[in-house]
Amino acid sequence: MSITVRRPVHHFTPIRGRKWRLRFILFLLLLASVIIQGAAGSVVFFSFRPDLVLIIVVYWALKNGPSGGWFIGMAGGFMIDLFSSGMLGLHTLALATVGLLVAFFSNPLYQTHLSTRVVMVGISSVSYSIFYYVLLLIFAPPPSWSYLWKAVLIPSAWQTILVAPLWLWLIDLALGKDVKDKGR
Amino acid sequence: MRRIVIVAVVALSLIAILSLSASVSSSLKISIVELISPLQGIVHRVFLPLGSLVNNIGRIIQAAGDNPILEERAVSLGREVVRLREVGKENQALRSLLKYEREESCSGIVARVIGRDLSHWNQSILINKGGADGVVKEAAVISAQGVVGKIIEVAPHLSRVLLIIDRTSGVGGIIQGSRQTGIVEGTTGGGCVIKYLPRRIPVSPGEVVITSGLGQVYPPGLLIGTVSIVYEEEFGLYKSAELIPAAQFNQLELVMVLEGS
Repeated sequence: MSITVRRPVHHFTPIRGRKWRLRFILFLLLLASVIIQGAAGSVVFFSFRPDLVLIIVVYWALKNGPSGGWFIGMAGGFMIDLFSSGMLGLHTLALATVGLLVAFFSNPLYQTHLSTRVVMVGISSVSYSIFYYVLLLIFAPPPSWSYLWKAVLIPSAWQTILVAPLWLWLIDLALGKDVKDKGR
Repeated sequence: MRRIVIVAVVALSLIAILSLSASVSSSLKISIVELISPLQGIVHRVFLPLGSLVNNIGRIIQAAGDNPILEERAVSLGREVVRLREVGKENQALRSLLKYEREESCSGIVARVIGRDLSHWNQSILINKGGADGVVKEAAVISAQGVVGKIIEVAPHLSRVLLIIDRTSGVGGIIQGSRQTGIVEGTTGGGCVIKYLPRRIPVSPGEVVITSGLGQVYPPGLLIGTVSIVYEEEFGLYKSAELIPAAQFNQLELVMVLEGS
């Protein structure tokens, strides 16, 4: 007699093993970039572009410390560079810095709590826009200060914060919430 | 030690990337994006029905309000067509009288929009036609409504279009009524502004702005948009005016790349 055990639909098995988790996150970065640039084209809100890549970078930086945050920040920034018409390398540099700083400054915080992560996403989004603006000042003709505020910083921050809880929940579902890859 | 080597290698590659020339980096970018395009195609196919549904609901709601205005406009446009036919015939007769050679009209390549810019800093789109289809860099791109932008990156089967609403974009424009030329640039709100108009020339909201043909990217006479707000400065040589672009950038699906523009 055979017994079939069925798992509830919501009970996913998180991805185990550091290498597999890293590969999954890299794939997720690619998927997030493709979704935002492909889906935004077909959905009516042209300017609604939440920064899913930034959320992934913050997630990984909180769990894996400065080196992990820096590496994923670079990979995510390179993805954004590929899918945008700006100068190649600027997003890479800006997002790598954000990944590094998130890991440094979040050390004493409760990193697995959703509200901490969402607040970190908001702060990171603002910092990322400012870093990029500074890089534009150095490497390319910069836009006006009002452009930074009105066209980039505010829309990017609220759109990213709005999507962050859902996106973080989905990553948690895939990777497991309470497992820390690297203790500090 | 291993970590220091990795950091050094990554830092050096970043410096190398940043020091690449614009043409090399743009061709590198679009080539990598083309490698990912099958995945992009799948995502686009998944989201397209959803987008069409949302867009169609919006259009139906808007159409109900627009219907009486459009009916009125159809009547006046019908009269305008009759008048223009007469003008066209007269023009043809005058041309033949003067032995004036007709300008060659531009032909185009129809392409589908498959992606938007990922960053809030830039306004560009990806289209599914590239060098193999005859698309070349700097070619003008239009939609059924008006000017969309120009090609900035070309891969064999994919191209990137810089929209006229991008802050780095510049299009030679002319106010149809007064024939005053200016430069149309992108603004923060996703619209555009025509700059460097002489102060003394009157400009009023509702006036049509078309391409001037200066700069040799856009052929003359293409519709850019209509003036919405005029900025009258107290001092200075020039004034500017904000435009409502004719092209519907949030609903772009099909565009045409002009050949030989």
